[in-house]
Amino acid sequence: MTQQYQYGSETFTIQLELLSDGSYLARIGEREIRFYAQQNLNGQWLIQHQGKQIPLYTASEDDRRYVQVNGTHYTLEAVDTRKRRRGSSGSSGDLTAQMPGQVVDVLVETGATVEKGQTLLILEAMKMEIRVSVPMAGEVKVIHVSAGDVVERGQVLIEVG
Amino acid sequence: MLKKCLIANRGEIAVRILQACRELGIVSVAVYSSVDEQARHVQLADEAYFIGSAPPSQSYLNIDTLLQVAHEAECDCVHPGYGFLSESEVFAKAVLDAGLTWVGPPPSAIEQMGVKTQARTLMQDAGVPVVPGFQSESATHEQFADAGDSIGYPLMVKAAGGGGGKGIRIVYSADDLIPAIESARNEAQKAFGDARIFLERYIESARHIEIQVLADSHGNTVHLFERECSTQRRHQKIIEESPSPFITPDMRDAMGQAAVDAAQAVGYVNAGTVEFIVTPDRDFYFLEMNTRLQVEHPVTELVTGLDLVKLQFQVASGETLSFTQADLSQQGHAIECRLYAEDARNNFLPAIGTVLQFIPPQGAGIRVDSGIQSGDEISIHYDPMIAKLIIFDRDRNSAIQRTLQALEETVILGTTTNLDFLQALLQSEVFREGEIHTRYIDEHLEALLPDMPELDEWALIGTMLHDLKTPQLASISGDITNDGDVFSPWSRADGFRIGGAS
Repeated sequence: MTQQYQYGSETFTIQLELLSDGSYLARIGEREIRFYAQQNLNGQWLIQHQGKQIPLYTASEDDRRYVQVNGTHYTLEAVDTRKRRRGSSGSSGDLTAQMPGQVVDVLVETGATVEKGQTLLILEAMKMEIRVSVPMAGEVKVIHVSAGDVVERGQVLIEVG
Repeated sequence: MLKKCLIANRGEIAVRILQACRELGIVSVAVYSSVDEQARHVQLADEAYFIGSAPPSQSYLNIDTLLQVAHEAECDCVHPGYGFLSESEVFAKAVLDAGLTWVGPPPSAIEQMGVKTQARTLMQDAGVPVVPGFQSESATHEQFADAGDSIGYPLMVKAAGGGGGKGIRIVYSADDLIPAIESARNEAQKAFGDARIFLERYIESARHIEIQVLADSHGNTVHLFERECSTQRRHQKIIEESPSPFITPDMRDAMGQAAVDAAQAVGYVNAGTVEFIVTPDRDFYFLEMNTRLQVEHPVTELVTGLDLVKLQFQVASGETLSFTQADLSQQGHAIECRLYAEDARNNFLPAIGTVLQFIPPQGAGIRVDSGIQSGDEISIHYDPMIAKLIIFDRDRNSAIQRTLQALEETVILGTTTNLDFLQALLQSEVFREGEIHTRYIDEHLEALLPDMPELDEWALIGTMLHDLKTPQLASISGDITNDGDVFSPWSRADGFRIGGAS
């Protein structure tokens, strides 16, 4: 089975096969790595490779993959190769929430002309005020939220075109 | 001894208080908001009551609801923890008026230390050194200008009615003084409804070193030594330790005595902390007093061998302290790291989400205080703290090594944390030399922030294993077998047959 994952700004491809003797063969680029792996009841993996044991922890939510191995944590995203991945920013003119929070105030109305860098919305989270501004000039097409709404990370707040 | 306690808080401090209650035979009553129904503090308490929806104003800050629960549950005392209503003299008075015991200081002490200008004056009268400054409710611009000249620049304009970074301005020259005062007043008015400000000398490369105090209701006040809390970012503490690598034994005695004097000046009872600002020349000045238990109290517990929360209940029950100042000593070294769900590379914005897996480190000298378990959500409404990791070892270097080892073993999946930032801080030369001051991190953040690590090929392999093992994820790549189970014998491509040669 082959899969692509994004880490930071890079995409990595990996192929993994279960062999007849119960070991695995991983192919990453030119490298081939053969190892054994078991998973215990807690979901922890134990890799056995060249006489060494490597504990490994994994978890996932939606596209995100979380791993801890060799004392370091990594967050990757599964790249869906079958269909075009739904981008987290939608079309270029959309304002999305960078983090979950609550809308304090919407500063514009539908149809308003806005300038690049203009603050359109104020979010509040963790007692901090986040001013959400538009990266390019345009016209406010659709406002999806109003003061008091609780929003999630990645949620589209205002569409600007 | 008190019999039944309402714990007016949540998260790790509620769990901490619960432990003391269990050990003292006090029945514990927890409260929870709608998002905390499955939280650890609720599960561990003897009884739990729902108090409202997630926003603190509708739950953990709602005095009426809390008193109602205390009454219904027939509690005889209330422990406010830290944050929330712990320094609200209104709440403290209401608890006392309801005939319950407040596990904390008298409301008058909370009130006196609550207004900074009032606290400064009190301290000056008590002979406790305060930061050279100037305060006057009716000063003219000229008088402020004169005061500015005598304090010297740079100086700080600070709000009298509150903290948290609001209403503070640093002024570098006399020309900027009046505009800074106006601006600070505006901000203070909006944040605290109190436009009063005062001036204070701005001390560069300062350290924040605080002294734990404890007083019973029979006139005995002791100090439990210092905690060095200078590893801060934007006035938020990240790492605390004891002993401080900077202060001398003479300073310790002098600061300890000053802290005791400060506590006695306001008739303090129970546990509290006196904060000092310490200059590079080793002068110290009273900054403020926190009239409650603090987040970093475990650091003191580990070096003194005392249980501060149990002592709080004992004092509140009317017991006399069983030790004198002469009986107390510091042993070994303790370091506390605050593990937060925040993205250090994105301006430390909270990284809210589900903690899919949390495996804290274990072992000798490793203590973890946490209210979070695997599966918990980190909510936007509360502090995104996952856990406090408090390490104890024989000396500072050993404690640093042990902390690094413990951080390496810590597993936290599902959200971004400051774990690698903590590791970078502990490995930095400035920390090892004990030379961090309160503005150090802010001034050197770029250099301290670790780069995103290169992807370990085992991490990539582990991710793939995870997806292979989960059939619905395995279908992402389009390689699905009949039933989606890649471990099924039907999906083997190697000619395997039971009982026959393959």
